[in-house]
Amino acid sequence: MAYYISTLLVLFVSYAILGLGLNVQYGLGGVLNFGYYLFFAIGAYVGGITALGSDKGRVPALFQEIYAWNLPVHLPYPLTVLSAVVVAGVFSVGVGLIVLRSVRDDFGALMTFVVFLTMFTLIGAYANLFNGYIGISGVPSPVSNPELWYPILALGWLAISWLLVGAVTRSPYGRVLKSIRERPDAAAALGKNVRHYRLSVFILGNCMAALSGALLIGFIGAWSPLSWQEAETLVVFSIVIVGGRGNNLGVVLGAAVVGVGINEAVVFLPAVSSDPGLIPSVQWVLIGIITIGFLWVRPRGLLPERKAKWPWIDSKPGEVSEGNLLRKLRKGEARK
Amino acid sequence: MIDDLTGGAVGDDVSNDGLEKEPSLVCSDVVKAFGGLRAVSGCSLTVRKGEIVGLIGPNGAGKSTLVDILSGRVHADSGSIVFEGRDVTRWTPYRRAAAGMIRTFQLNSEFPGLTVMENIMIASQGHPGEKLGPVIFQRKKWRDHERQEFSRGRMLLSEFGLSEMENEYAGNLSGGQKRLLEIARSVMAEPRLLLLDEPTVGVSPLLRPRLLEHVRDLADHGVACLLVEHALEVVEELCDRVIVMAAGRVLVEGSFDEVIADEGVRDAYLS
Amino acid sequence: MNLFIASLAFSVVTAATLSLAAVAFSLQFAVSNIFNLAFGAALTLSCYAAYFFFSIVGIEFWLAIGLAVLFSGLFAAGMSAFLVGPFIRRGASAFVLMIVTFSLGTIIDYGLDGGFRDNSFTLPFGGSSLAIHAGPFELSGAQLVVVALAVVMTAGLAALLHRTRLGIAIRAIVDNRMLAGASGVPTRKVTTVAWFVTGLVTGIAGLALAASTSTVNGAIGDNYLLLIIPAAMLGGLGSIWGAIAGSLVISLADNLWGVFVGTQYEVLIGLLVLMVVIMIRPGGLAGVISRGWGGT
Repeated sequence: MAYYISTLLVLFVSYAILGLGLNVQYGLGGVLNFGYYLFFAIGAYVGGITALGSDKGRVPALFQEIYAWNLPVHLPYPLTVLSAVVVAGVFSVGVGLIVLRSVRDDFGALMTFVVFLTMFTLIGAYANLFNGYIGISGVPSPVSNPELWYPILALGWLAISWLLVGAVTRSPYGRVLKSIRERPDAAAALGKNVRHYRLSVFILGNCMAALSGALLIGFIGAWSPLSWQEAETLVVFSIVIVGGRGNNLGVVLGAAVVGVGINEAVVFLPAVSSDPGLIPSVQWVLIGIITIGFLWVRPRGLLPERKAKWPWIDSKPGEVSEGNLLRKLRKGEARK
Repeated sequence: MIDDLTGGAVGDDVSNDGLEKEPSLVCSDVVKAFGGLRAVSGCSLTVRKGEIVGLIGPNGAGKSTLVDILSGRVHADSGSIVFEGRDVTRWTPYRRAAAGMIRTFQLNSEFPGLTVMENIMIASQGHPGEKLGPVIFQRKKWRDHERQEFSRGRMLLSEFGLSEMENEYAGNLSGGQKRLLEIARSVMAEPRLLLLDEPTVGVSPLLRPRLLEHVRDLADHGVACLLVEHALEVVEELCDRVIVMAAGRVLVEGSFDEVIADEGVRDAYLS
Repeated sequence: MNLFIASLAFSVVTAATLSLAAVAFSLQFAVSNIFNLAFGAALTLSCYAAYFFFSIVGIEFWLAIGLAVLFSGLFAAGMSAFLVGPFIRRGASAFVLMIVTFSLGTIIDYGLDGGFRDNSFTLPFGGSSLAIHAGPFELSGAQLVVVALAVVMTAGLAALLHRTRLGIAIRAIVDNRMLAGASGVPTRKVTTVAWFVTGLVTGIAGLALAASTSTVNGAIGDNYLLLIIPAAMLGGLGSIWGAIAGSLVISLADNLWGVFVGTQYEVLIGLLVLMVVIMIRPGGLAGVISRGWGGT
């Protein structure tokens, strides 16, 4: 039972970080990325392999060759996660530079979908990289009593992510992202480099996905293409849409409701012995229906995006003297 | 960047006389064709600092396309655009805007899901908080800047009579208020050249003088303004010089009275 | 050299199926201005429908195939009328519609997965006695039928779009939906009918795909998207002839790669083609679209 609760907690944290990352990317920046889960997978692979050590039987062939050059592939704990984030970030730059070139945004989104399908097939077929369809397993936990300590560690990472995403959301940077989401043309007309912002938020979101992936594999210990089929991306979209696009608290709520709730609710459905695949299928169909339903009935989600506030600026509207202020503005007097 | 904008010709030197003759925008022989249709065919014009130039002409004369070309949204097939001595023909829209060429749009272009205050703040130029690094590592730095910009935004909102709406979503404003917001946003961006595409459309007659007063005020402080406008009474009242476009090229150029008296202009409007 | 000619000939065959799918994908985009990410699932659905009518209900094979195609058409029409259409009328963005179709694709994929006990099956198209061998390639009778079918379908579609009132209405909507509506075209009805037609083509494409592979499984359609999307994009979305040309190029590249490089990493072709398209003409594709459907 304790193990079950630990699993749920880690799963929740993993989905919450995934959701927060996608919320920055799609909710704030308006960059639609159907390859989002690919970066989660990359994070899991890199985080797993760097933690595995030099175990000949488990480490994929390519990495064994890297060992032969005495390069550091086996890393101590926080570095495994960081390396996952860095690798995903570098890969994001490459993908983003190509995908975000597209003038029509939906072409770019379509391309992320193709990138995902291609990489999925490729990683399965090219066994040297990540052991193909077999995947990696036996990843050791970074803490001695994972049942107790791993959820706590995971919550720590969630706290860091929460603070980071919160700072980004409430900052002028987040404001520019929102403006680009709403009207990219008008944002460009005010001097904002739209492609630059989109690329940065694409990378930022994908790095968070990788963090989440590295976090999950540290607990479950195994990872293969079966764990990251294309429909998994839908779960994350569902989390953001159900929770509330642009609202971080809503997204964390969404992670609990959709990510953990629906996953676990179907466990209690009566099993059909003749068709063991039925229950997982029901879960996917349910998530699809919920996503479409929310987009129709409550497109802003359970907790809609909040208005911007400046609580740290203490002045009230109307605290301005009348007169020709424009002149002062021009001269820069108002700045003092 | 910020020093560049505030310390430039606009902020320091507000006397009109010396600036009158200095050109801000020079556009020469600009051509743009869509498919087989020549929307702009060999258009040349100059806007000087502190001057309000009206751009009028019948529908389909190519005025809006020209504004799109000047702001960089559409690339010209040939011709050149020089802004304050720099050739900006190949520049992207954001780069032109950051250099001080600010435009407004013919259709509403407020950010509907952002509050009025946010809409204003977006226009702030060279804000350190708009970069990811300072957001995470230098909170004090960007917050100091934000505080200054915020009070500037407050003043602008009060100037434009939008103070009450400060915390309202911009999408909920009336058509005229959206226009005012857009002009206020342009002022916030500290323009050196303002391209106004039909700014008075949808603005109530009560608010209109206020809007025009602001444009005049900007020009008095050395900002060059190019104003595309259908309402001739606005052009007459506001513009120092009027350019008439027809069929993608400049037909006549001169004072309002000269232009209106021109036979060719009448023909162009009637045909 | 012989091998090259053989792969050229074989490419025509594989391009036949691919072009049907690419034309349908492209027409759906042109009519409703959305990318239908449930397209792969719709291909799979038509295979399962044929399997359902033939193996489970027990209808005669070719009748079952016909019913499956009809079902596919009705499904697409329903998708347009009850899902895509309402969202578009509500002003949903292109992104929201992509998420909606993506969700629908997932629902179909896993609905089929859970609803059918068998996860893979074979549709007995037969015709192996007609098989032709050319180098390493083998063409079955069914595949030759597919080529003939593709030619007939394409000609029929072109005739429909250029010679009939319905076709003119569809092209008017592709050009400018609002203008078409204002000049008396019943846009909703025509859109639904257009989707019905694309659904029929999708159904035939899906079954042609099933005929060219030995077993059908739940991933058949989604894997095929990796070729369909680049083919449609390469041809410039919205043009029949473009989609066919794109399909030929993609098929040829695919087969040549298979012969001269090896089947490993063959999957990269679609992505590589898309990258080239986006590098050369990041915005140019829209120009092709605005010229309209029909590709004259």
